[in-house]
Amino acid sequence: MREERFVGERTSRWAELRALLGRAQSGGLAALSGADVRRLAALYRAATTDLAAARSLRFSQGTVQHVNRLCVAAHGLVYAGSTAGGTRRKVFELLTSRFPALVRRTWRYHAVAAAVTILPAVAVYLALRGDPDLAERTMGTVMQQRAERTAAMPDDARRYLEVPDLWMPVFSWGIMANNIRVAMIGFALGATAGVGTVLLLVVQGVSLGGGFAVFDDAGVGGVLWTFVAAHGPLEMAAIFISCGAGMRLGLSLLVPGRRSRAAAFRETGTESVAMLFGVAVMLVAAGLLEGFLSPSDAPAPVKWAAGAATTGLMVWYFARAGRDARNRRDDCGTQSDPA
Amino acid sequence: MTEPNESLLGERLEIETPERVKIVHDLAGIGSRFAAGAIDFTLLAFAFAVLGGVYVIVERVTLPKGEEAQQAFAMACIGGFSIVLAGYYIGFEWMWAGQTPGKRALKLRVMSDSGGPASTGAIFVRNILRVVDILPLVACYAVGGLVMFVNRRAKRIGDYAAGTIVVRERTEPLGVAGPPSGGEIPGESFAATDVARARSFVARAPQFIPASRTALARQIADEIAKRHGLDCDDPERFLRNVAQGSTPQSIRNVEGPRP
Repeated sequence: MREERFVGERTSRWAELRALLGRAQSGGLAALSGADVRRLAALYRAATTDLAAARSLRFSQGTVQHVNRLCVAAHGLVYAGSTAGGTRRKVFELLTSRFPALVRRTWRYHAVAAAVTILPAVAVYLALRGDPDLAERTMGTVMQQRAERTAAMPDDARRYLEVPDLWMPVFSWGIMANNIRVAMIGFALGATAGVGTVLLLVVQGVSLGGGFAVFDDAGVGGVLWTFVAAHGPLEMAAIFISCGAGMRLGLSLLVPGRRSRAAAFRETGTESVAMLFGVAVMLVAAGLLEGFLSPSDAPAPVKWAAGAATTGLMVWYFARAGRDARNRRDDCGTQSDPA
Repeated sequence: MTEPNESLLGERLEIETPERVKIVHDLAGIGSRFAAGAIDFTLLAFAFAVLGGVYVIVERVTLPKGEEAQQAFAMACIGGFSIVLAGYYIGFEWMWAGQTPGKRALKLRVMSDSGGPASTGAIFVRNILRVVDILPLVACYAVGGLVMFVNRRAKRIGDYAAGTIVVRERTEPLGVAGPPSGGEIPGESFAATDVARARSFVARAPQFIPASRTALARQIADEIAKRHGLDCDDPERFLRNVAQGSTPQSIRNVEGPRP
């Protein structure tokens, strides 16, 4: 009955490990004192030895499974991975270097995403301009009604959207959440080998080109241009980046290169997280502009200036930001770059 | 260790720890994953019903007239709904280290492929990719379900993109914390391995689908009973008795002598 002796001698140790695991289960390792954590690590290592012994001595399944279960639970805690640096520092590092650097490295995909949106937009604009009948059949009448109403207003009161001041925060929040939703869907649809992402971009481009065609036909295109001037660049860039990331995800499935298809998909997917976070931040900024500045009474030059400023900032950000981060980090020697 | 019933217990994931010891995770099957999903879905439906009620009340009572205000409000609500939807999965899996209420109820947990906890980024990606898994919308999760069905680890597309697996988690002991009984009882007794097998079955019985539960109970009980010349009309009760430390003699007394 060597199994019974084996189990009997170790029962108290296993019970101690289980008790520690139980306490850590609810609060994580933070719930344990320093001495407890050291004890947990020691007990875990002893348990792995017990597990190996129980297996090679062909002890009963019950014993093996019990020790295995202890090891599984403890392994997750002991090898939880590094969380050094804290959330705030990680977010800072992501926004100042990882996000712009990744966008820079994958710029071709974002450029293709932009082309897939803008080309249909231009084509639809040219097709619908001067042909209100076709415009009505493809776009419906909502845009036309809106354009006619805008045209009927006196010159100085012309605005694209008539949002009551009180509702601007709600409007802004809605736009933000909605844009983030579209951006995330654009990325996720990349998993359809990119087909879904391309479709989404084409649809966006068509409605964009159609809208401008209808407004220009009504002679109030300038109102629409002024409306989108402030938030447009940020919003479009964010959508192009997330959809570019989605197309890259799709391409990793089609052309995995030297990696296995699953590995390529996983690496591309997890790497894209930085871009998704960055895009969300961009869209929050765009939503604030679109909710508060774009529908406001601010004079047109202010809106155009805001658009020019965000465009200039983005050009600098994606071209330069994070370029020296790698060198700086090496100097400190505190952290090795996993890439 | 190579129990004949092992294949019935579903797939496993073996991970070698840095101590060079192999530990084994039980992978969650497609059934328990969908059951957990159904619980989450119900909770979300409830949340949406409440939000929908708020929407109607706010719209009737306070909304100013005008197309734009209404549109703005509708947009904000769609945004709110999608934030709740994504936030439910991402928030819970992040706060509860890989569990949503549905997963917690079924004792499932999201982990990384390497056996460690899933990172925040991985949780984010697997839940964003839910958009594709849930397609087509008319047949909920047909794409994800199909993908789960054709791979051994029951991964959906989001799990592939994030490098995650869903494991079945059990932290309560099987009841072998003390030395297996039997040795100190004089006379005929069940072998320690048989007792452990019975205990293992009893502990896991609630997780099996009825068909394999019955088949498995019959298979294990018959094997043990044959060794001691016992009858067993009710395999599950028999295994419960064995697991609780009954001796062959005591079972014989209850069941009556063999004809």
